[in-house]
Parts: sequence; C-alpha cells; structure tokens
Amino acid sequence: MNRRPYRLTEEHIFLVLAVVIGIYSGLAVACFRISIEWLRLRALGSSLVPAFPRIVIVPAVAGLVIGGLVVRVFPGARGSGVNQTKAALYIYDGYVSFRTVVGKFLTSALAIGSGQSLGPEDPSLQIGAGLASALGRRMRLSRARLRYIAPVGAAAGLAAAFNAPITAVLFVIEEVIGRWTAGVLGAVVLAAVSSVVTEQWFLGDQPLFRVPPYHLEHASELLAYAAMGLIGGGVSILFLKLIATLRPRLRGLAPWTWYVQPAIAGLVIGVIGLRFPQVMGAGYDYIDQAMHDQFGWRLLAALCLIKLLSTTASFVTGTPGGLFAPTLFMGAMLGGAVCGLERLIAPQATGPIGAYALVGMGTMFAGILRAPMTSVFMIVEASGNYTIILPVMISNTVAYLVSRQFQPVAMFDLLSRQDGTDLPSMEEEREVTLHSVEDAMRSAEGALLRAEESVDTGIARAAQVSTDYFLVPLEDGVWGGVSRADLTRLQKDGQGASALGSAAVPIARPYLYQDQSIGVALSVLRDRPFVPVVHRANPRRLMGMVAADDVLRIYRSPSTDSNAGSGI
Amino acid sequence: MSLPPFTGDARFRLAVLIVGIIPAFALTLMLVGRYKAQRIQFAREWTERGERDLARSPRLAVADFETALAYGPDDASRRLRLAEALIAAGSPHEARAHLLTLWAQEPGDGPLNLDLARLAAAEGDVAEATRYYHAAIDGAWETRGTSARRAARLELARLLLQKNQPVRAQAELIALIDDLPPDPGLITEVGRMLVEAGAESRAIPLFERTLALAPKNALAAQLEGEVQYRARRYQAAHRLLTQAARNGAALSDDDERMRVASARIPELDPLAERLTARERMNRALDGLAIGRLRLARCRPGAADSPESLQVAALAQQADAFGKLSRRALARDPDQITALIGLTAQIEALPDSLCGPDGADDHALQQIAADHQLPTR
Repeated sequence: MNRRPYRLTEEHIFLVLAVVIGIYSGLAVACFRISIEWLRLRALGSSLVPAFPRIVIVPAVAGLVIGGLVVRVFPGARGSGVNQTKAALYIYDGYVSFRTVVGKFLTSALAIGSGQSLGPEDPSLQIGAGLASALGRRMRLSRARLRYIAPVGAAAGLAAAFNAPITAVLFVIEEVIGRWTAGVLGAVVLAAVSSVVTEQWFLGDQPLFRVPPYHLEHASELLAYAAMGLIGGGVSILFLKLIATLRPRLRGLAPWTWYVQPAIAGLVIGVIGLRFPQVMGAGYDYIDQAMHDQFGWRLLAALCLIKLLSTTASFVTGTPGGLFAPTLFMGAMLGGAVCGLERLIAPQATGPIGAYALVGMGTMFAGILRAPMTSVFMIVEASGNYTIILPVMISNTVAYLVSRQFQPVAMFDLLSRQDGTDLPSMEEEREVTLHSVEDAMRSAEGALLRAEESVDTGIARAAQVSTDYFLVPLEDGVWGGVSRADLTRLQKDGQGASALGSAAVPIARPYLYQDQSIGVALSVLRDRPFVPVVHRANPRRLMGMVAADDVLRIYRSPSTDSNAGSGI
Repeated sequence: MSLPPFTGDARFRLAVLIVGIIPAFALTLMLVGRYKAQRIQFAREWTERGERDLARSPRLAVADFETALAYGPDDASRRLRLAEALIAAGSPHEARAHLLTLWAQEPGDGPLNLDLARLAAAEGDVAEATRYYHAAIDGAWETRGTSARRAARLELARLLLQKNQPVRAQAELIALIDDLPPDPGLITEVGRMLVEAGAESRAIPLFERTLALAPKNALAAQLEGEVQYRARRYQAAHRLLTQAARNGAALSDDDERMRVASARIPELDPLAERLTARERMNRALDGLAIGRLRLARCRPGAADSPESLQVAALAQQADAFGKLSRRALARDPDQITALIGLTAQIEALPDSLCGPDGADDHALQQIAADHQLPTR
C-alpha cells in the first residue's frame, strides 16, 4: 500500500512554534521574576520594610539609571507593553525588536526591584511577544503568520506571569487581538499552556493568591459588592483621569527631563514608602496580608489611594513596568476597606475579608483595564475558587459600567492615542452595533407569487405593489425569482396563461437568514439582484428579501456613522 | 487555503530552536536553584528571628513571621506560627484569617482546628468552637496525638461547663473516662468536672481510681467525700473528708461542717431504720435539745415582728415538749413524730436570725432534708 508522505505545512509549524514560544516565554518570565527579586534584595534588603535611608535613595538612583537606559538605549521599553504588542500586530506585521525584549527585561526588573509602584505582568507580556516575534522571524514565517505571532507570545508571557493560562488567553483575545480567530486561538492556547507548565516546573504551581475559604454570609452582601463596584468605578475614573492628564504633560516637557522623571517618581515613592512601605514594588505580599485581615479598614482605604498616586507617579514618568499588579493591589485594598466598613454596619452579614479583597481586585481590573471577561475569569483562576463568581460578576459589571460612563476611552486606547498611534480600540469594537440581515431586509408582502398562478394573474397582482422583484416557491425549498419586466415580456410573448412556476428562474442557494450579518448578506448577494431571506427551521417560509441597495442603505444611515469611534 | 509544505531548511531551523531549549532550561534551572535556596534561607532566618522575638515582643515576631512568609508562602507551619504570634500579640481576628487559609488546605489538621476552636471560644461562638474542637479531636496530630486529643476534649468540656451546657459537657467527659492514663491529677480533674456537670455517680469511680493510684491524694478524697455526703453515704463521707484533712487538704468551712455532720447524722437521725422505739425517742429528744440551743441564740428584733412571733411560737412548743416526761412520750409515738417535726422547723430558721449553724445544726438540717420533713 502506498502511503502519502507526511508534509509539514506552515500551519503545523505555527502550532509547534507556539509550543516552543510558550516554553521560551516561560523560561524568560521565570528569569524575569528572579531578576526582580534579586535586584530587590540587593537594593532594598530582605526585610519587607526597607530601612532608611535606603528606602528613599534606592528608587531615586535606580530611576536615574532607568531614565538614561530608556531614553538612550531602549526607547521601546517605555510603558506597560500591552500597546506595543498591539502595535506589533496592527502596524509592524508582528515585529518586536529583540533589543526591546532585552530592554524591557532589564529596565522593568530594575524599576520593580527598586520599589517603583509597577508590576511584572505587562512587561512579561511584552517579553513574550518580543521572543515570539524573534522566533517567528527566525523561522521565516509568512507575513500573515508573523503578524499573529506577537499575540501568541504575549499570551505565553502573561500566562507565565500570572500562572493563569485562561486569564492570559482571554486577555489577549479580548484586548490585543479583539476577536476569536480560530486560526490563532489554537496557537494562543498552546503557547499559554506550555509557558505555564514551564514556569510551574520551575517556580511551583501554587495559585497567585492564597485565599481563605469563601462563602456568601447573607444575600444582602451582594449589595455591598455592588457598592464596591460603584466605588471601584469611581477610583478607576480617578486613576484614568490622572493618567490622561499627567502623562501627555510630562511627555511634553523638555526632553532632558525625561532622564530625571523616573528618578523623581522614585524619590516620591521612597518618601511615601517611609510611612507606607506597602505601596513599593508589585505588592503581592501585602495583597496576601490584606486578604488575611492584617490591616484596618482605614489603612486599607489609605493604601488604595496612596497606591493610586504612586503608580500614577511611576507610570506617567515613563518608567517601564506594568499596571496589572498595581490595579490588583488597589482592588484588594479597596475590597478590604469595603469589608471593614460593612463589618461596622452589619457584622453578622459580612463574609470573610479575603473574598472582598479578591472581588475588589476584579473590580479594579474591570474599571481600569476594562477587560470585563478577563476580570471575572482572572479572579476565579487566580484564587481557584469558583463560588466567588457571583459577587465578582456583580461588582465588576458595576465598576465597568461606571468607568465607561465617565471615562469613555479605555486605558490602553488612551495610551495609544497619547502616543500618536491609531490602534483599534477593542472596547469600541465591542460597542459597534452589528447590523443583521433583519435590519436590511425588505418585507416580502406583495412580492410573493404562487407557482401555480398564471403570468397574467401575476401581472395583475404586481400592479397592486411597487416592488420590481417577485419570489415564487418552487420544488424542494428552492425559490424562484421573476422581475416585473420579465412578466410583461412573457405576456407580450403570448405566454400569459403559463404557470409562474415555469416562468420563474430558480435562485441558487445559499439563501439568507434574519440573524446573519449584513457582511454575509453582501457576500451571498454578489451580483444577484436580490436574495430571499428564509426561516431557519423552514426554508419554504419566506421572511423577506434583500437587495444590494438595502445593505447600502444600512451603511449610509446616521446610526452606523456614530459607531465610528469617539475622542478622548 | 492550502499552505505550502515547509522545506528541509525550515525543519532544521525548528529543530535548532527546539534543541536550544535545553541550554535555556539548564541556565534557568541553575538560576532558579539559587533563587529558591536564597528564599529558603531568608525564610528560615526570619522564622528564627520570629521565634526569638515571640517571647519578648509578639508584635515584632509578627513582622518577622510575615517576612518569613513572603519568602516561603506555602509553608503551613510558618503561617501557623504567624497566626499564633498574632494571637499572642492580641490580634485574634487577624490570626483567624491565616488559620482559615490553612484550614482550607488541611481541614483535618489537629493543631489548626484547636487554634480555630480557641479563637471561636474567645469570641463566644460556642457552636463553632465545638465544631472545631471536634475536628481537632478527630484530626491528625503529628506527635502525641492521644494526649493532644484528650486535652482538646477536656478544653471543650471546660468551655461547655463555662457556657452552662452541663449535659453536653457530660457527654464529652464520659467519652474521656475510658481513655484516661494513670495520671491522678488528670483523673481527679475529670472527676471534678463530672461533678460540676451533674454526673456525680460517674465521678466516684474516678476519685476511687485516683485514691488507688495515690492514696494520699487529698483533693480526690475531699471531692469524693463531698459527693458521698450529698449521696447520703455519711460514713464514707466522714472517712474521706477526714482522710483529706489528714493529708493536708485545706477544707472549707462547708467541708468541715460536712465532715463533722457526717459523723453526727448517723448518731442523731431519729428516723433511721432499725432503731428501737426508745432509741428513736432519745434521738428525738437530743435533737430537740440542740434545737432549743439554737432558739436560744436567735435574735429576732422587734417583739411584734413576724420573725419574733415565729421564734416565740417555736420556743413555746419546745418548752411544752420539754415538760413532757419520757414515759409519756414513749407511750405516744405521734408525739415523737411531732417532736421531730418541731426540731426540723427550728433548724430551718435562717442564719440571719439565729446566727451560723453548728455542726449539729447542720446534721439536723441534713436529716430533715433526707427525710423530707416539713420545715413550716
């Protein structure tokens, strides 16, 4: 028996490469985390509360080094890294320079290790994307494939940083790619899983947060969670407004100031750290403490606001580092504060603080980063606790809606517009009304003729309506079409008595259904004058008909124009 | 779209990338090895520091253990030490969250459940404390499990007694009885708690076991003497209370009265079984004589007060009986019965009126109670 030799196609290579990318990303992120810790220990010592004067000097001096490196050597390392990955996908055909990867690794590790109020997740995402881009180029992938390689690496990097593959896949789909593309989804999942497996092999498989057992103490607690969503939405708006206002202003200052801005931010954070050392660095240890009820509600509320200010200081000065961890920190503190307040009001109906801190994290994630699906699944995955999903959904939704109401532009869109790049806004794309065939189709009333009727009868009925096209049901669910002009011509040719069934021209399948998009309608219409819209369960039942003009009418309508994005 | 097959060159490049994983793995492994070793070292150092600080400043120890936990977050014993330091620092609420985290991982851990039980008990939540105590009793203990379980049950029984739930305490104590080691102190304590829980009959064998193990145990003798007295076994009570006094027990006034009364009751009881009529009469008269002495001590205050009138009436009756000859009494058993009743009424007069009881008064009161004689 002759067997066809197995041929390795680019599609296969892409999937294998996704696994390889995942492994390299997992290794890189493990090294990145170790580097942050190593730098922190060297710079600030092993105590959770660094001693004076180190606590003030180290972030400032490190800021000076970072400023120099970012301005002179690694300009691509500024900021969080999410938008750079989106830019690679939409602008640079998947290209992320290896220099940026090295720069991001070094400068972010130095920034976070020296106490700047930033996190390692977004840099991990960019490191993963950069590694993927380099490996894709090495494999000489086609341009189409190479374009999608950065998100694949981004998912791997984020998955390893969070130890949470579902969160990473959702975030990349929701915020970077923006759509569920079957061709990429498999690679994204493979990369995320392989990176998490690699990272866990080295650093263990413990969840990011060790959460005390959760149970809903009383149904009325859901009101507290909704209130937390409201407050979280408000805090998110404050944070977004500060970034929106301060970042362009500082960027607009003289270029020499760019060298010292991270140092000034470091100094400010160091001074804050004298009283509130919790706000320095990523702050995961303190999130754990907040979850274990180690702070009073006043301190928790203060930490939320001080973290907001210190993260703003770090981020708007262009210091490389991520926003995920600070967002989670603020959320945990906010959640804890709400729990503390609720204990004062209704102690019997208040659940454990760990649950509130956890929900708070999701709330701030939904409010600031505006990735609602990711925010829900991240909490479930990071805690390994499914029962928390109900309060998470309530609080996140409220925070998301409040934030969107008062700050129309989401964080990453804001940053890309400030940087002068017009990246597609995933949130705005989600907002776009998808028009369906139902919106475009015209009524079939009066346009439906019976097959057994004669051409003369058809003409008589056609005289009562304005439409020029008529549909005739033929055998086996096939529809026929006949125009007013055809009917007149047949009558003139002496075929007025013949049946419409024989006069109508069968319309080739496929037909349209009401729920299909008008994009599908256009592809089905092609050069046909019209296409019948039929019932999905009964193709003999005519729901309406669509012509090319009907589709164009929808695109020309003012309501469609309003979907085309909004300003900052 | 059908994609073109990949060339041998592409396969080679892919193979190079895959092979490249090996050195990258090795490098990361080396770094991670150092990183983990360093974290373990820091965790150990900060834990040791915490242990040192715990005795002099629990608050400092909390900070130390928190730092240690940052380097070794998955070490359950370290989190447990932090929780214990928090309890010692007066922050039980904060400790509870750590303990619950550990509990979620190890719900059957004995020491953990015991800590949670103590916290719940301190917060006054008896139901939750009981649940955790039972989990501690049924849970896993790394060392000395039997004694730890026993101590946990004893603690639970103590809590239940303190919270006025004697029946549930009894159940816990009864569960302990068969499992007690030959430790006189422990056995006596369980017996004492059984007495407190109202299960005196179950306590007696425990006191006897203690006395068999340590015949000079004054506490066991004292406690059993009290129980025997209440059980109307006066001879045994007298023997045990005397033994307790001899062995150095500091008997309270009540105990001392019981000790003497338990010797006098068998001598004074006119209603005891198997007495001759003469003996009964003699005892009734002896009782009346004691009663008249008590009446003589009474200071009822104003002459027309109800107490004064009551004392006068009783004195009048006692005098009337005193005038009767022994022969007349011996002929009329009803008079003897009335005499015994009168004595009971006199002895029922309150201390506030007639001064503190003597041992004989106490014996007569006990006799009246034993035979349920009317005191009005």
